[in-house]
Amino acid sequence: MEGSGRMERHVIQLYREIMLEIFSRLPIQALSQCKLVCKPWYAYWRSFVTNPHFINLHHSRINQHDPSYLILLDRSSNLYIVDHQSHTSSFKAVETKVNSLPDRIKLVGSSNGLLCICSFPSYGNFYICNPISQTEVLEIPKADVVDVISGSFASGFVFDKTMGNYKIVNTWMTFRADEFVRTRVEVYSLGSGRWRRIESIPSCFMLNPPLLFMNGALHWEVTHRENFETYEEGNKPPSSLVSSIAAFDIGSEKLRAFKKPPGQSGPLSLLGEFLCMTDEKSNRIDVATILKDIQQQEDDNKKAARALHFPRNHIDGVDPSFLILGGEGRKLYLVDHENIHTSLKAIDIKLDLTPMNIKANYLGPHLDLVLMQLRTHTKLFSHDTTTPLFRKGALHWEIYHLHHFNRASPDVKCIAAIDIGTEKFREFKQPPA
Amino acid sequence: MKDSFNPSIEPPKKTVTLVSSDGYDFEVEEEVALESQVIKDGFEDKAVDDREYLLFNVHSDTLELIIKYCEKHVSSRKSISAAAASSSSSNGEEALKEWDEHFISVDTNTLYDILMAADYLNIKSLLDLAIQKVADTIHGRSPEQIRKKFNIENDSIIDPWASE
Repeated sequence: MEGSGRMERHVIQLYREIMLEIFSRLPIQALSQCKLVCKPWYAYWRSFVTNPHFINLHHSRINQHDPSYLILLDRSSNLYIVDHQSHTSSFKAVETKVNSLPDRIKLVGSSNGLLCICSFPSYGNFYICNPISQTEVLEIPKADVVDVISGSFASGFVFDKTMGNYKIVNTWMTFRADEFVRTRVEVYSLGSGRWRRIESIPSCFMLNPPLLFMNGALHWEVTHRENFETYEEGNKPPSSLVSSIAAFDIGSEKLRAFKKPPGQSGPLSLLGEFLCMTDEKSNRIDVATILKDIQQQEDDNKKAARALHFPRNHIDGVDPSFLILGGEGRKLYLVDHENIHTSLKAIDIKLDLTPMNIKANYLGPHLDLVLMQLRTHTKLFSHDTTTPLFRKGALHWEIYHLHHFNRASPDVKCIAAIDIGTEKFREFKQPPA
Repeated sequence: MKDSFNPSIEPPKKTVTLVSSDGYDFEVEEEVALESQVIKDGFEDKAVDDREYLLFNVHSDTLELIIKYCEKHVSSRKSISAAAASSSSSNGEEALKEWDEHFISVDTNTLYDILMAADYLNIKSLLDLAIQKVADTIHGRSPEQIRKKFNIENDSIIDPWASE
């Protein structure tokens, strides 16, 4: 090989190890371009995004320089991505397949770069996409949202570390025959194919709350009877109502409620990894109480009380390093909350934004894989080049069993068969070699 | 640039001969050759008098560049540590970075040769430099531009995950 043909060298002849090194230094946008260069590069890309070593390497290399983007949505349901850490404060519209959905949309949440959106104002249609790599939009089976009291519907999208999967959580109020409302919670685990209703949820009253994710639970503000089933103080006369913070644990799928810190009237927000109560006074926002863990709120109150002085704005969203304020004059304010006096940055977004539609996230490489897995709502991966063969009344093709991305086991090759008559799906282990 | 050690005090330099794939001999100082982990390992294993290395995978054009890189890094390290010892301020690291940047700004074929040679000879800093250069070259280019830049044939890959 060496010596001859020196003009015909191709980078595609590089060893796998070197390609892994090269790919691990590319941000996700460049990576998704690479997979379209040629078949060998596609094969590298496909094997790397399932490789835990690569994912860690990419995370450590890219996350330092490329940690997160803001995802914005305008009133016409167009998605925008803002690279708020670049010095130019540029933002650009993304051509996502989301833009072609029939409904108007609203952002539900983002987790590890996957973005969950839902139809709006109609309830129940959810979609998942990766706005950076621009792979397909995954459509979730329609949620069974019934008898919603207007203004009570809220949803969240989170990654459940205990189970290693993504969940969409919906909560809303319905009317009940007796005087108080009934609260519904439904959960959809990505890949499961169906929504599950969570039983025995105590009644609580809520007004369009944002669901805030902290410490493995979604938090929102509620008003409920003092004898909330899981409320620490136990049975009290059923007449009085109290304001609390509800916490829905993503792993155990249990709802708890906690007392609000006294003297706080403003809305509940997320500040980095902290929940905080904001108190909007005339021309400023006081971030008065930061709750790292609600049970330890006393300790945290002491060390975290501080005030932000700002033109009046709403706290819209937050990423690990910045508090994001939006609203007035179509400007977006980014505040380094570790250092609130020195760095206030305004991004002129020139967008017709609704306050709730801002999310921040890191968009990583393994997400395409997650999407792939979810594509068929099973953990199957159909090989792209095979054409199904028709034999004995069934279509057959080769598939790979893809394991979860952080597991090192190799793909298992199988033969899939769909019986044309019964429309049943089966799979067979392929004989080795 | 200012590797100003006095050669008269230095002990006589030991040298090693590197032979390129097309048969040219390169006589280099031992410490320069030892920048290559492969040569270093071989050196520790072998009898001391074996001072010739046949590099079957490295063409003379590339080997010349590799030696230039190793010489620069050996001499820069010396002047940086000398500056550190005399606690005088030095921008040696900065200057070396700039030098590296300039060194690796080569055409794609040369970059490929350097990359393969750095991998073969296991010169970690050079391999890192070359890999980063390839990554920088890819970054910001469309698939078509990447193909053109790296002379990759379009085998009409279609993205199986794009809808439509």
